[in-house]
Amino acid sequence: MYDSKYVFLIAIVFIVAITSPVWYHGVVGKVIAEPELQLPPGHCIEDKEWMKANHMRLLKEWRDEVVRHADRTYYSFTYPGESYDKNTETCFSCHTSKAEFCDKCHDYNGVTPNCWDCHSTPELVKK
Amino acid sequence: MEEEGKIKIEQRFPNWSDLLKPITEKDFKKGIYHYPARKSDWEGAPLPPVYTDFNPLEKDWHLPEGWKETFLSKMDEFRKKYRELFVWMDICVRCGACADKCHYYLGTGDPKNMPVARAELLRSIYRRYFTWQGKIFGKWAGARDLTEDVIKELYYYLHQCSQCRRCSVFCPYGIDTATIVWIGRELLTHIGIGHRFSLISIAACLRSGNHLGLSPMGMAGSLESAAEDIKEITGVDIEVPINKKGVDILFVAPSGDYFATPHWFTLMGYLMFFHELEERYGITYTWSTLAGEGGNFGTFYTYKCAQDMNGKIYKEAKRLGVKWIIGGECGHMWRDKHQFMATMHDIPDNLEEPVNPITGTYFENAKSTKMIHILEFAADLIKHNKIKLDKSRNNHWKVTMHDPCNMARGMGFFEEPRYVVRSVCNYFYEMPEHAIREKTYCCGSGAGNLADEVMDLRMRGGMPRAMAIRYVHRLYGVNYLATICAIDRAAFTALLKYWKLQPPVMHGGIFELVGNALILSDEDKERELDLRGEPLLKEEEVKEAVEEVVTAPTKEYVCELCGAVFTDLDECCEHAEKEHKIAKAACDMVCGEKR
Amino acid sequence: MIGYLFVGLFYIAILIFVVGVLVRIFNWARAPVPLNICTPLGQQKSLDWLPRARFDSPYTKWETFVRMLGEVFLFRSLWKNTKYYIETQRQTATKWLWLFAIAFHWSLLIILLRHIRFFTSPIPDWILLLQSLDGILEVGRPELHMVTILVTNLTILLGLFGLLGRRIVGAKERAISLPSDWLALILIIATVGSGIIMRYFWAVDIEGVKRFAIGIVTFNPVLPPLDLFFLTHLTLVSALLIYFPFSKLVHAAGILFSPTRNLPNNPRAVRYINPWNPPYTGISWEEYYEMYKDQLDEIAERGYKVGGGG
Repeated sequence: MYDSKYVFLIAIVFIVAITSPVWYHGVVGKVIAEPELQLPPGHCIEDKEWMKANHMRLLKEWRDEVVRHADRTYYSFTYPGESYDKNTETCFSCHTSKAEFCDKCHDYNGVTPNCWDCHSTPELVKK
Repeated sequence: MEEEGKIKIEQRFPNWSDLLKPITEKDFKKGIYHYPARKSDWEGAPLPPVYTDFNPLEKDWHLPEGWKETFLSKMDEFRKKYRELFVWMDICVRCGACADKCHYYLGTGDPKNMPVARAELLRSIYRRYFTWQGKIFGKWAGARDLTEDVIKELYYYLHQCSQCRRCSVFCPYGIDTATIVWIGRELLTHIGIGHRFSLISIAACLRSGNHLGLSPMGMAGSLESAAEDIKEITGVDIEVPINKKGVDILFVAPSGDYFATPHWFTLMGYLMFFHELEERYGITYTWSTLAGEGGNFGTFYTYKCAQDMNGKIYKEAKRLGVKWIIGGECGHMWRDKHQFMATMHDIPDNLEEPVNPITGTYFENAKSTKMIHILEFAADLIKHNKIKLDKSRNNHWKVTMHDPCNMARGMGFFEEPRYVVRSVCNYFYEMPEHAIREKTYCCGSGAGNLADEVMDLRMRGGMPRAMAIRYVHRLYGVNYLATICAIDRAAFTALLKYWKLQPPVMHGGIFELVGNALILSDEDKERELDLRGEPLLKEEEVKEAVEEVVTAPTKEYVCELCGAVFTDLDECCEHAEKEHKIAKAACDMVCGEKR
Repeated sequence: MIGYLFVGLFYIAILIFVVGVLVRIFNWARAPVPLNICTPLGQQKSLDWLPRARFDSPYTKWETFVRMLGEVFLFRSLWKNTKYYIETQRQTATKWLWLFAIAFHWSLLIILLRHIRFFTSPIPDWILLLQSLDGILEVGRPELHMVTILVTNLTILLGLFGLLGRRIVGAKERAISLPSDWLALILIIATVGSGIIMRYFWAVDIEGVKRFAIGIVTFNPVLPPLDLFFLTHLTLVSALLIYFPFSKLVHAAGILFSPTRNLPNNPRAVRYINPWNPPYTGISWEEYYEMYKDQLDEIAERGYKVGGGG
């Protein structure tokens, strides 16, 4: 083999780059394999899995309906007969902490929603 | 091919699968295909003992038995000997950046002359026999069987490349077709296929020390008559040392300079230059009859040929006991001296790191090879005012400079010649930027294409260069093309005539201009002739000539697209660029003299 | 069950990719570069007072390294591209190929870096920063609905369709394009396309994706969400990884091994060694003397000189 110094350097850089996520966890010392959520007692307004996938769309729908049509009442599909006020306060009544609830999953997935640019967080509401 | 600028360029764009199909001897065109090697030359060169006697136009090429196996085993051997071949066979992405950079492609329109397609000739064989993709998917992986037709195609197209490396400049991976073609030609020699023109010179060089096959007295006689010519023009007696031991410098020039025209005037320039150094500073030098050839046709033929041809220079440097070596104006020579020679041979220990004894300049860039270019040396002397020059003696020339491919892209040799040209003449004009320096165009005759049988190819390949010259000729009245390559000096004679540029555009080496301008210290009469024996311009004429250039003629130029009239061609060009989006380089297409 | 297939596929793809590229690299490295065939693209180093092109005609290792950086990250050779118009015999600079190539490759790099967010937890801050920089483009009507369009999604499409378009529209490019050239482009376009669809049109269970990715890097495999587009994307990525070492895509590694670019232009200053240099078999002075004895003796008799008025 010729120029082995450079070839090995290239090979090592390549391997290190490809495996970086593996040793990265070794360096930071921990892996958050899945978000640890503090779930409030009781059930959410809809099925838990459905909420996980669609809460952002639901909130946007609520916003439009409230602002444009003054339609403030939400009837649950999962739990017939239950109705809720279309308001973030409704959420905050159970999910009392952004840091302990919202951020957990958002941080885990690297998602940065811009809700809080305008809206207040449960922590702020409490104050 | 009759009228200037009117050669018929038939561009063809076959689909990929047609491009993979080999052409046959029936498609060989006269004026494009090369003649095969002669047996005597083959035997005079370090080539495998499998000479094939064939006629390119016949169906049966009498390939030696087992040619296919030989070819493939050699190909395998070469990819393990040349990493560049191995890597470049694998990584080309066929982006096409190289396609319209090849002067042969531009001139012939033949799709297989695109550098990428030229390399694909070998790459398709490589895929078929050395990669599993090619073995399994065949044509669909761009692979093809090695047949006799493929060999014919290789012969036809590998010799339509002048190994100028212009494509390598634009390739994002630096794939160098010159190296691929070099190796491809060597592959062909292993099945006995040779190229006549290259091998005539190679065999001659290995026998006599120079490509022309000059005997020692032939060369000495040539130098003697050059000295006589100098005597006639300057009145100075010049002594030319040959094979002299114990001098400072060994000087090596391309053998073309010994009697071709216009090389001859460059040779006179060398002699005057070294004479002056000896007179004024006592620097001694010598020519060598054995090392009487700087050029190296092996650099584009096979490794072994190149090696056996450049070795003699070090051998002679050792035998003569010189301190270092200076090389003359030659293209392939400097690809060889810069990149090949010191790798191929041990450097004799009597050589010293080159230091100019007059100025004290240390040529660090040549500290290992111990060989510098005469223009590096001259530029250093001129910068330190160590030689006297009279620029006005070149006032009859309006000079442009052609960068030879091998020096431009083999060495990076741009500023030294320009500095010298500017120092020895008053009128210097550059060709358009895409045609000079690292993007310089080949004269169309390099790497074995100087053969007469391929005149059509040469004139086509030289077209982009000729167009650039025509441009500066029309724009600035350029009438001298300075070039530092012996092949160029031979090639432009035909090329410039073909493109109706010569006369008035003459061509020659830079040392011809230096010789004109150089004031010899033992020169006592006023010079009336230049080295060509033509009268120099008198002082009044010089003034007129200057005015002619400076004030520009009172002619009017008209833009053919809109009819606008200008007093200056430059203005017209600017107008054309602004209004009609015609690049300045091409403004001669729309801006013409008003009749 | 089918989930396990994808876990296996992905692992195998990564393995083939890494091993395949390494094999390629070491195979190339086994062959020597016999000659220093650097292509200098600017003035060599010679006389001190001559302006030289340091990074086009590098003299030291350091300068060569910078030149390689320019090639790898800026595509400087493509930047020099010109176009020749045969009809008018003129040529102009053209940057289209450079634009498409650089748009595609840089976007791809940034997109790959952004994907680190799936493979790490906690996510490094600089990845989040990169992601937010990539997302500076928000389109829509503020009073209604804003969508963040990632800049790299636009530029990679520009690059890819530009490169594809060249091959379709350009006659020369069409002639030299082999099936494998189309395959590579189409494979990448499909991969990028499936990713873009997931981003803007087809919500996937992002947490499931992340768990799958974390499972992969912690060697603790978790089944992927059985989502059409995610599985398509994953399959295409695996196909690309597998295809990479066996195709022209290895140019990414090959450029580092290209001797015209990675060698310094100093062969006259530093002797370059060819390991298989054969011995010299050319003519020697003795043979030459034997052949031309009379003539050489005559030159000697004349005092090793001619001319000089004598």
